[in-house]
Order: sequence, then C-alpha cells, then structure tokens
Amino acid sequence: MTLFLHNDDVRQLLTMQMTIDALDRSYRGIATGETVCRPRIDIEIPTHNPEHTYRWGTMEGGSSAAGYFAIRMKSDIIYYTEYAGVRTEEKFASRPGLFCGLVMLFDVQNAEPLAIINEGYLQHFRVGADAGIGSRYMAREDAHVLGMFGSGGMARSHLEALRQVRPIDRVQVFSPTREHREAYAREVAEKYDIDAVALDDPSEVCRGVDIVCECTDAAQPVVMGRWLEPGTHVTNIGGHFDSEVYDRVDVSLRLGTAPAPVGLPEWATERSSITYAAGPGATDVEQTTKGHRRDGRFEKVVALEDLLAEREPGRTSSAQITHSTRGNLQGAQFFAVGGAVYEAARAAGVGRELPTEWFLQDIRD
Amino acid sequence: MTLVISNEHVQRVLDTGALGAPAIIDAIEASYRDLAAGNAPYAPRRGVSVPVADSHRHAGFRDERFVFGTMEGAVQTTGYFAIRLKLDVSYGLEDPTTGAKTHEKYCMEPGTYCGLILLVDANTAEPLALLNDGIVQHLRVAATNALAARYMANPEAGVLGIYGSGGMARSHASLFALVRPLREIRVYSPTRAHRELFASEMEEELGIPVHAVESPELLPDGCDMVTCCTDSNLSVVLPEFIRPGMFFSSVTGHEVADEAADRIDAVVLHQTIESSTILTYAAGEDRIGPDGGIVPIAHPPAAAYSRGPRVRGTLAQLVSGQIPGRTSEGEVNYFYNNIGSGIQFAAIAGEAYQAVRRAGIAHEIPTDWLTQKIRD
Repeated sequence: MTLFLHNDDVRQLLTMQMTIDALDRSYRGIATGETVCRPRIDIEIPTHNPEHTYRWGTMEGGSSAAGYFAIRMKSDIIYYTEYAGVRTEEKFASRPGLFCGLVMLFDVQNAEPLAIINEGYLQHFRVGADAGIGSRYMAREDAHVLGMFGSGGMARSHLEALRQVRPIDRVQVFSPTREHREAYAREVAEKYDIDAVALDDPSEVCRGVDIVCECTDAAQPVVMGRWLEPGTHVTNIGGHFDSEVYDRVDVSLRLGTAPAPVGLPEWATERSSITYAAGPGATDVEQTTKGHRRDGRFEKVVALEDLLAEREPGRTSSAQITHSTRGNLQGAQFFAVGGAVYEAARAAGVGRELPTEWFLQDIRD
Repeated sequence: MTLVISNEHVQRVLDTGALGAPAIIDAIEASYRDLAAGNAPYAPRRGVSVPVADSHRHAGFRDERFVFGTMEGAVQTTGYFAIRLKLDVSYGLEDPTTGAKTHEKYCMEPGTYCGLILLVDANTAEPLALLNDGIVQHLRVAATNALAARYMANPEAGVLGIYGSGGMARSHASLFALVRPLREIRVYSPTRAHRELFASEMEEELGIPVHAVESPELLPDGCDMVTCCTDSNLSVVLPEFIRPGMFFSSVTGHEVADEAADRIDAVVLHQTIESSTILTYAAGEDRIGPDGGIVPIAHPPAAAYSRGPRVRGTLAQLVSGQIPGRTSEGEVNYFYNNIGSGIQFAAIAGEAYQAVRRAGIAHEIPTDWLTQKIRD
C-alpha cells in the first residue's frame, strides 16, 4: 500500500531534531557525490484572469544510502497585493486559502511509490532547519537573542530550529500586521518560556540581537544593511536584503550547490530556480517576480563542503557579520525529511493507505 | 474530487468512442499552435538517477539504477498543465550466447512499470487527476506523428506501413486513419503471431485491409506513409526502402537510418535541437556503465536529420504556417520525432480526463487530500 500523509500526520511525527539530522546527512552526501539533486524548475503561464499567473515548481533528489528518492511539486496561482507600502506575493490553489504542495516518495532499491505527503509542515521545518544548520556553523557560540522579520509559519519553524543549535531566550519580531506580530510574540513566549516582544518599527529588529532571520514573503527588501550590528549572524528565506547587507556581511556559508547534469557542465547553475514562462513579459519574468533575489552577491562565500573538510574557515571573530543560505539543494531535502517522516509513520501506524497498484501499470513505453 | 485514472479507464473511453480520435488530434494541434505563439511553455526533460545499493542488486543485471524521469508543460488555450513522472529501476542485460545487449526496466518487480501524469487546471492550480501514462503515452506520440502526416503526407496517401505491432503501433494506425483516407495498412514486426494478431484486430477496428508482411523489406511496397513504432536498437528504414512521395515518421531517433538521409528531401523536427537537451543528474557517476540506465534517456540527436539544408523547421512552425509541409508530390519527407515534451501530455491527458470524468468510471480521492491550508 502507498501511504498518504496529511499535514496533521506530519505534525505529530516530525521533530525539528529529525529534520536537522536528516538534512545534515543529505548535505554531507552531496559533498561526497552520494546524494544527487537537481535545481528547482518552474513553469509559468498566464491564466484567464490577467492578474493571475499559474506557477508549477518541482525539485527532486535521492540517495542510495538513504534508500529514498522524492519529488516535491508545487502548484499555485500567483498574484500580488500591496499592504502598507509592501508588495507581497500571494498564492492559492483551487480556491483562496488553499495551497498545493506535495511530496512523492519512492524506494530507490525497487522504485516502489511509497508515499504522497502534504508538504506544508515539512516545508516549514526543512527551511527552518537550514537556518539552524547554517547558524550551528556560523553564529557566535554565545548567541541567544533573535531578531525576526515575519510572523508566519516560517518564523515559527525558524525559532524552533535555532533553539536546537543555540540557547535562544529572547525574540524581537516585526511583521506588517500588528495583530500577527503580537500573536507570534505571545505564542512563542508561552511555548518556550522566553522573552518575546513585537516591535512596531522594523529598524529596531536588529538592535542588540545575535541572529537575524528574514522569514517574509515580501517582494522587496525588508532587511537593511545599516541596521546590522557587529557579530550578528543573518539568515533569510527569500534574500530580501538591500544592497548594503551584501557589503556588510563578512562571510556567507552556502550549504551546497546542485551538481551539473552528466556531460553538460554548461548547465551547472548556482541559481535557486530555473523558470520557463509563456505569455507577455515572459522574457523578463525573473525581473518581475524574483529579480531582487539576484541583486547582490556576498564577497566571501564558503561552501559547507570546504568548511567540513577544514579547507576554509567560517566565522573567524566574534565581531564578524556572517550569513548562511542553503544554496540550491532544495532537491536534496525532501527525500531526506520525507523518508524520516515515512519511517515514523509506518512505525506509528499513521496515515491513510492507497492501493499501490493504482500507480503501477503493465504497459512499458 | 481528484480522479485516479488507470490505463483500463482510458482504454474504455477509447473503446466507447467517448475519447475520439478527432478530439485527440485537435488537442495536440491546438497545443502546437500555442507553442508557436509562445503560449505553451515546457521545461527540458530531466532524469535523476541513483544507483541501487549493492545489497539490493540482482545477479546478471548490469548497472541497476533508480531512474526518475520528468517532463512537464502547459497549454494556455486548453488551460491544462501536466507533468509526467516515469520511474523505474533500469538495468542492462546481455544475452550470454549471442552477446546481444538490451535495456530493461521494472518497478517493484519485472513486468510492472511506473509512469504517472499529474494533470492540473492551470487557471486554478487545482490537481484534477493522476493518470497511468501507458495509453496516454502511446496516444501523444501517435497523435504527434499523425499531426505531422496531416501536413506532410500526400493528400491522397492511402497506404500506411507500420513497423511494430504493439500498443504504440495500434495508436498510430487509429490516428493516421483520421488524417488520411487510408485504404490499406501493412505491418511488420519480428514475431509472426504479434503482427498477425495486429492485422486481424486492426482490420476489424478500422474496416480496411491490414496485411502482415513476412520481412521488413517487403513492408514499404506501395506505401505512401511509413511510420516506425519499434523499440529496436537498430535502424529500421534503410535507404533502399525509400520511394518518391513517401512520408516517414518514427518514435525513436534511430529508426530511420542515417544512411537514408541522402534520399530524403525535407525534414521537420518535433523540437529544436537546442530544446531537445535531456538533463541527467546522477549520483555515483563512476558507476555509470555504457549499457546502463543513463544512456537510454540521453540519445544525442542524429546529425543527419537535425541540421543542414533539408531541415525545414519544427512542428510548431509547420502547424502555424511558417514552413511548408510538402512542396511537391514526389517529395520524400520525414518527421523526425527527436524528443517528446510535456505539452503533449497536457494536451492528451486533458482530453482523456474529460472523457473519463464524463463516463464516471475513475477512482476518486478527495481533492482536500492534495491541497492544504499551510502556505509556504
């Protein structure tokens, strides 16, 4: 039987510690060539509604040592809104309020379709875990105060992950909607018994903190370089930095880069995604939706592979401003975390079952 | 509800006529018109492969690898997006006596395979259906070749020759019958029982004579169109088979021999060579053998048919009137189906979905299972 796991199932099975461990193993496998993944590929096409664009995105990878392969698939209608001067990317699938993100998990040893998993919860965990892994290697050992931009699911999973690697005991948060940021502060203060304050002014988020996380869906910069204090470690989910952030960061850790296709070194890319688009404006889609993510480059970037092999140092002083980012290893995440969830689900007897024969056929092409 | 559609469901709507050949050809034609107008994006085909662990390998299977192949595309006119996922354990076999090498695959156990299409409404992002790809796969290739024949074969072409007698050949016979006034089909495949069964079944289905011929060189006699539907590793159409006025098409890049190129006046490609790149990402690259899983998903295009003065352009250019299909009755032309693309799956799976849904015969899973309230 093929297992179907809903977000509620994943929520009761997956821990941040499992996620961090699974990803750490996967990334080490990338360094040795045992794990494989490819960069994210998106397709965009106009819809009947001129304000809406359909966007399909996939990423995939696997490892014979882990024994799993997974594809993560996202299907969204994309549009933009502006709130308090901040342009935000909105999305839905089927109808507003619903989203579509699925992981299909396979057994590498015999190609069996093992599971279909809603990826909402897993997705937040894996992104948060990357901030945790990056901070583990780059943040100051004594880091304990966190500045948070954003108050959604990502902001929650980031805090959870950072608490696995550093003793976070204070959070200061900003997001554009007062009600949201205050709810976040109340919730995390109670959940972790820590000090949490909601700030009305984004420029105060970075003051007196050791780690800054940007967890927003803004379509423009939200973190300004002039706000950063010496010794801070910075993470982000979208790269919503002004150009000064790139100037002020002394060293950035990149967790990894997807390998080039076999025999096609010219197709190697460090970009987080490749987009194929139709319709008017297709050629400058990168500028219209994601261009800001490519504005800046850090002067010094260290690969995790080199850090682990002690070929290059990470943070070398407590005054340095550091940064960490996943790189384009998204495809190496879902088999690792999905596999861990699947094993936990089988052990706990959780999930619905679908007949595996629905997915098999006797026609060979 | 999101439908789970099996090959049997698709076959049933084909058998009842609920999924008709005209709708299939129209859908594929509309998608190439959209492609020509820039309204049908697709991404390059990818394969990602991982070696099977030593502990799980079978004796005699060379270079066992899990291979995950994907292709996707969207068509604006019909509003469908589709991705096709093909995943199997792939391996090489060598006959100990003859030394003949073949490429084999399985999913879970020999004899079963896994190919799935996820169909999405591109206007709402809602997942509509998950389909087994077996029949849709045959239809999308056959419809594409038949569409090319509609533009490239002589208008009165009445005799079709088919190399191959499997499911792919059947789909070709049915769809070619729609684009030209067929009065006879000739078929050859190496196993007599297979070709004779094909002849009797297709004769009944199409109501025209279908002759199984005894050897490959006998097939082209009197044919106006010849299409290859084989999995042969060797060339099927040899130079001496070619007569003036013939149209050729194929399902792999090497069925029409490179040496035949001098006798072919014009070539239309399915896709540009630039867009035909297959990206293969592999773990354990040192383990990729020459007979292993990587090779079959990365055939380089045949130089004889992919460049030079006889190459007119692409199918999208052909259906949008940018290039001619045929310039004289005596012209010999070849539709070089160099690689498939995701828009074919969007076109055919969209039609199959509509017919199966109307028939009310598919499995269903709640769409709620596939959507979620958590936003990333």
